[in-house]
Amino acid sequence: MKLISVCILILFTGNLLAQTTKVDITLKDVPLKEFFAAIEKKTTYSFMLGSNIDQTQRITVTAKQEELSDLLRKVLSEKDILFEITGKQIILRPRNTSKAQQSNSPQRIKGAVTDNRGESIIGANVIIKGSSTGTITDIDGQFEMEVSPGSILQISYIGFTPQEISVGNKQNISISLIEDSQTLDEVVVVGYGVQKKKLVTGATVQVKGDDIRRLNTVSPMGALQSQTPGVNITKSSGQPGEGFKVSIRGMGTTGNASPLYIVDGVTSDNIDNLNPSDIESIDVLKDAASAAIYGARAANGVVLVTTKQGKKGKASIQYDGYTGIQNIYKKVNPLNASQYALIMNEAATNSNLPAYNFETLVPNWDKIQNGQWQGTNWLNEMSNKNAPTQNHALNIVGGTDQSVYSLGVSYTSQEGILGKPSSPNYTRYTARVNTEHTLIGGSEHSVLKMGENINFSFTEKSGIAIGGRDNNDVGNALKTNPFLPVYNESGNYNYAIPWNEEEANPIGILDYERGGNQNKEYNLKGNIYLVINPTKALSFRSSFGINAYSGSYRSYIPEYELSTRSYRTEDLVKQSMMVGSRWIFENTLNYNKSFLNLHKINAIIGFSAEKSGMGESMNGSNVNAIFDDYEHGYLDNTKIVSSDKTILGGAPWKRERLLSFFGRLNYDYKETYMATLVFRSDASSNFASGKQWGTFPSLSAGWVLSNESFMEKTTNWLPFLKLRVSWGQNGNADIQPFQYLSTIAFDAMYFPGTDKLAGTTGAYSNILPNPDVTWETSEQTDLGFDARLADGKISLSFDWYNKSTKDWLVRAPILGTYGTGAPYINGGNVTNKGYEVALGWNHTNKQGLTYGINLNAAHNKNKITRIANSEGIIHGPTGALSTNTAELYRAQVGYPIGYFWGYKTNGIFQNADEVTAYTNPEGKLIQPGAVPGDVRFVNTDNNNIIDEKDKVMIGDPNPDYTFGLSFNLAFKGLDFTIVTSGVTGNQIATSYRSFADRPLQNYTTDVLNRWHGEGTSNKIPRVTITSHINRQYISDLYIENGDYWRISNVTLGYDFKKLCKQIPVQQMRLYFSAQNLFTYTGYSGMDPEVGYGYGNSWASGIDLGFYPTPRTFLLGVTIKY
Amino acid sequence: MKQIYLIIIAAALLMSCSDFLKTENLIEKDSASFPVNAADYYTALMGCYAPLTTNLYDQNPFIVAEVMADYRLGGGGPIDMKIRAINEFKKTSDDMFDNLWTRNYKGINRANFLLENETHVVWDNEQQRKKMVGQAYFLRAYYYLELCRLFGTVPLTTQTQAKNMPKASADQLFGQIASDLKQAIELLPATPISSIPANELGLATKWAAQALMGRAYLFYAGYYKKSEISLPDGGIVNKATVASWIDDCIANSAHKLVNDYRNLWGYSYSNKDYGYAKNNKLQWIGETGANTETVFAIKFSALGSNTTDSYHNSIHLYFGWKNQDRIPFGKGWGFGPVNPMLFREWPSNDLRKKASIIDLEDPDEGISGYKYTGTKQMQETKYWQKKNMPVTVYDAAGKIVNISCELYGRSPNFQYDNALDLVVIRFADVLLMGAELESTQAQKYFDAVRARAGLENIPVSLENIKRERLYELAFEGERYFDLLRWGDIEEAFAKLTEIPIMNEGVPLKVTIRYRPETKGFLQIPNKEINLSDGILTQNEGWIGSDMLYN
Repeated sequence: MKLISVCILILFTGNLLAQTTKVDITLKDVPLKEFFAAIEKKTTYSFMLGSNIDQTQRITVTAKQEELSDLLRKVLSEKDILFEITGKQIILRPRNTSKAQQSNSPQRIKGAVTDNRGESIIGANVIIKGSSTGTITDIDGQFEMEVSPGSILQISYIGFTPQEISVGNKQNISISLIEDSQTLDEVVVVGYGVQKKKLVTGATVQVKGDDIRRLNTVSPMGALQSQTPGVNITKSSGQPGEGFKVSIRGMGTTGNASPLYIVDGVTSDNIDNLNPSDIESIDVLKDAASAAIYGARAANGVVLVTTKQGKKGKASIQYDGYTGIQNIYKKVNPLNASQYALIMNEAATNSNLPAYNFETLVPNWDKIQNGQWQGTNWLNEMSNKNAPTQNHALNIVGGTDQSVYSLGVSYTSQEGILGKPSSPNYTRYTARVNTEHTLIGGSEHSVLKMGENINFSFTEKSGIAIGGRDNNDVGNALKTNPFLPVYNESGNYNYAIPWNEEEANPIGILDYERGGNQNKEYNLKGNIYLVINPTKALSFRSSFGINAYSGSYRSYIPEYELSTRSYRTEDLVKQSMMVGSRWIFENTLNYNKSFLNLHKINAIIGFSAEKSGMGESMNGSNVNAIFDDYEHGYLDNTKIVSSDKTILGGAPWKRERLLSFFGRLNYDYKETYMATLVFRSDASSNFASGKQWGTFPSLSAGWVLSNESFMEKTTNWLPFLKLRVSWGQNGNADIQPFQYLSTIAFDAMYFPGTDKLAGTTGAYSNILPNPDVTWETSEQTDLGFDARLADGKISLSFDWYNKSTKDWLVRAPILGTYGTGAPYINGGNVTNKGYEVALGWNHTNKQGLTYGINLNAAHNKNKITRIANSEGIIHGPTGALSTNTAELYRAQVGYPIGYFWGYKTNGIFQNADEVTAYTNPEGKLIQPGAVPGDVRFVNTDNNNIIDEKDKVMIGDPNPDYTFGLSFNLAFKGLDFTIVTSGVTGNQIATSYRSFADRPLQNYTTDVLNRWHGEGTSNKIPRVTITSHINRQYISDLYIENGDYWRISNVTLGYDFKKLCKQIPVQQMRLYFSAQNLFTYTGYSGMDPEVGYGYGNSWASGIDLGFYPTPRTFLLGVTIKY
Repeated sequence: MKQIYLIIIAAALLMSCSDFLKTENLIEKDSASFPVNAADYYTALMGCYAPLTTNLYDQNPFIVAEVMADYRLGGGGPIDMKIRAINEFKKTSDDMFDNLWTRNYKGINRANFLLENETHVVWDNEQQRKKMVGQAYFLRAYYYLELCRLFGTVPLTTQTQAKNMPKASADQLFGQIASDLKQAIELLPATPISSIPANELGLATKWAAQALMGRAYLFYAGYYKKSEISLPDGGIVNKATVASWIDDCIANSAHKLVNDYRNLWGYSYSNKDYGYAKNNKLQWIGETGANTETVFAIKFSALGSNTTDSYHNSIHLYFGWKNQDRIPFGKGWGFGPVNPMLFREWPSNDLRKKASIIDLEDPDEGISGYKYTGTKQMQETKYWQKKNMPVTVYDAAGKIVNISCELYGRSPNFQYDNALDLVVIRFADVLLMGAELESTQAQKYFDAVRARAGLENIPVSLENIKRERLYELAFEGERYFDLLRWGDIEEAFAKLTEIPIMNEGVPLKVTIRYRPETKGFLQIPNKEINLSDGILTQNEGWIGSDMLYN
């Protein structure tokens, strides 16, 4: 907080200074030009002058602490020059207009400049064409100036397409500027530079900061979800502060498949610690040709984040803030006490066990029986109703010809909707300072520029146990029996009841086990750079970036006793800390030249060195603290160190170095024929010398058909059409280092001697060395087109791609007889094929009504083509759904990565005849032991037994299609947006109870539709207490379709400035927003967006009690000054 | 300024790439830098012992062998289908013995690593080298013998280099085992155990190697019906040479039988509140050196926790009483209830009967509070073995705790409390092997075992030895292999019909059938067969689905 207030102080001081600038100056007989230069240097103001001002007039001036306006008046009036201070600009014009203009009798005109939503634009430049006479718009977007009739005005503003308008005889002119994003002249970030969008030959997608900010998501990734076709973004949990699972154009590896994130030139692990309001744009490089400039690490695509950069002009201050409440959108219903009792007794009967004597096992059984008490609904008990969330962000942008700056501070907090009394909490503070200074040279040509981007964030996070099978608080709520009351008579957490002495009170667990924990992270990332432009064509840029991270974690768990299995006889204190950094040093030389105005060349060569993992971590835990609360939960308070209870650790970070050389050549002929050539060569320290270097080339070309004469006829309805084709290779080196050596592990222990409290360390070689391990390579071909139709109202982009990732870095299972761990080998291939479409209809009509519909959709098909062991399989873990269940998912040749593997079922045996009728072609009984109510497993191999050979693909967590559809409308200050997104064709594996080993766990109300007599169900088998293959076999009973369409954001806003002109700001927009308003899905769980994968990054779609995304209602305000 | 910067850049560009790309592994050593000296070698030797303590029941050879023996049932809770499948020679999945397989090959790989590095290490003295290298040979033989007794024939490798291999023949495998043990016997010092320092307790000795040689020879000779083992170097090991090693062990090791058989077992510690121990004035012999009967034991510690799972003795946990903490035995997973037939047929004048089996209805035991029903116990028989169980006492507060809480100050957690060692070769076994190997001292050895049990002398004969081994060594992991090597297994299992049991309180009868088509060996993990690309073949009796446990 302190830091933020300091920043604010600085900013306000800056503004005050601007209003009462005092100047010291002494000049003797110099040209006026030098006086201007001196003022610009001493103040933050810049001059704007017409051509009819003679700057060679000589002046002499001496001033001490003189008010700038007084000084100007004194100097300029002598020379018959009028001046006007607007913002940071001093506009000059001659007192007497020239003779030529006199004859044309100049007139005073008024005008207003707005954007296409009708919002005023402050500080737009208005210049008379052919002169340098001009002005800028004021705080209301208004301007006033003298022009000759017939002149043409040029109006420009950063981020908008410049416009020309003929004055004619009009006295009042209103100009509506169109944002760059709607034109093809906008530039996109392509890595080590920018490129005009219309000349881009690869497949990239850009999302503007505004489009991210206006969705009010906590993480920028959340806002990208609906706007980036081909980028599959799935929440790994709905708990505040949890990340996303991101894959670009399909899962490309069983290793780390997340893209490379680069924030202002600095490699980052993710972008969750950026506030969306700090982002200028996010560019996603999807095809190999675009990503190739990042060679070694680009196999999974690249996400380039540019934070807001300074802009010349008066300071623009923007405050965004919202506050809102969050609730569960949809709950699943566990059985209440009487339903549960019914099912348990039925299960016992079905297992030939006597019915339960509830009276002796369940307290208050009489109340349950007579309906006085429904039992405990644990999910409701842990719901944190109306969980608050809020965000405040302040951004300031401005600058002069010499220096520009952009500053931002923000505060975000979010509470979790589940987890009471230890509701998760996430708080993030960010601060950002980006500036750029021209050290040598002027606005026309800066010879030497220097700048820096600095992003700082501090996050605090406390959470509950999520995701897994055993250690999952949401899952606990769904499976704990409803007989157990939350509190006992004395108001304490009720101890486990005789009904199930092992099952602990989940609210008590939340309180004790998760009540005291906090994770803090500090992240500083940024770069400092220097740009030298010896000539206009040549530019050298050197950048040194750093990403420094430190974090700490602390927790305290008191002694408690909740069941025969859940207790602690000693309290536990844990602390861990880590600190470290990485740096990246990049140097690029850029040559930009146009020949005969036909051929344009942009060439870049560069060198980069990156060193990461310069850091350490330490952790410790101990028992028996002398205080018994979280506040005092520090290791210093645990005085007794013992060999079996005290744990200490400390390790260096994984060190990696990367050395790279790269180059890119962009060529275009008349902006009609384009070609791009990229190569990059990287060396990574993760590999043995000799295997360190990898070279990644790419080639792409584009053709703007609409520029051809033969397309002239179609210009009316097809003003722009570009075809693109690209091919390239990228790499991935993300493995543990030293795989090329037979490393020795020291984590074994044996216990010779008589001391039972001491062990002797044992060592062993823990992997088979693989000296040949090297890059994994992804090769991708992309064909696409971009078009604008119907007067440019409709934009259409299409891409088809074929991406094949070769030589994955995998740890494929090896023979047990080798007696040691599997090394990383380059042992797998996968292909991802698909297409992406983006279609938009955006228009502003003459009345100022702006509307737009944007649709994007992507299809991807993932298939593994090689795994280099004889099985062709990488197995997933067993026991994902319940102890003793077989592997749920695997990676196997011929199938999509992480597909669900199990038995197909074909209904339920309704009666004994159906069991005897179930025979194979030879007439042998297939399930002779089955009884009515059991599952009929499909006998795929026609023998007479259901065994592993009958298992097939029963689901695929990878969606076939992902799509986003949004609609926006704006008119006279009112704005309305609906954003939706969804996926289709994927499946989710769901189990809230451990069927195989915990027969007394609760069910959800689905079980009420079970088979309990002929004809009662053909889908849900009879219930049993003893473990039965009905549920012990992984089958499609656990699989559901995960298709969904989510209305992720609906916002209605109004700019009160439109209503009340006297508000002293440029914009004051109030809005109401609903997030996750509706989700259309057939999925029965709380949230169909399930990124959890039970232990492997390449798996997902496993719901064992997934922490759901909340439905949020927000009230927000945006104030621009 | 500009020039300085350019110079820096130029320097950076010229910076030697290979220097920049060189990183050092700061928390791990690698095979190039380890082992270099005797201390390193010792650390690697400990790494070679470590797989002995692996703990999950389906990867623990002791539990698997015990539950396959004719005197025990599977038991466990309703979900523990795997243990009941093992009990009935069936499978629950094609990879159910994956960890049991890899555990032993891990040990073999580590032993191979040690033996390959013998000459790369700077030794302080020759005795040190011999002692450690001898242990490495012992361990390699130990792991191979476990594989051979459980899986039959398996791939044989004496190198760390990975190689996809078919099964070796039994002759090759036992040739290697015998050769390794011979090396161990020759290398390890002939120090009587009374002179071995306390801190070396648990390490393999020359005596252990001799005893293991006896075990290996008897299995090979019995199961494969061969009289001699041909060593890879051309030598031969026959009954006489093995018997002479056993004689040496008995004569020179200083191993001897302890006075009271019952004091060998943990429950004798619980002699304040456990009626049987109290009334018989038992005094536990302990694990600090007084137990002269331990020839080789797997050492466990009191350091067990959920993160150090293999440090505690989970065999005791698995064999513990399901959900019940009583005196003298505590909570566990209820595996391996005892077949009532054994208790019935065991003569009551043998004190080893009550020393080995608890009859829950026997008033002399003085057990109170044990619940038969509602405990989620499957295949309950009212008889439990007493040798490897979680032993409990009352703590100062009157609460039932594991003895490790009292002995080593653990805070109670029944899953990780068990810290007693598992004796895998006991001197009584050595004596009986000596008798079976027809040593010149056979009768003397045999009499010694019986005399300690308070029984009269009877002539040494194979028939008598068989019964003696059953009663002396019951529940110590050898019964199943004894039945296999004597060829008695089918006969023994023919008796296992209609055993009365209770499943979660419901009375039932169970019949257990041995499947002779398996030849007594386990299913090789199918994954290994797949990964070997057909080079490794599945054991007989395990192909197909008939033996799937449902």
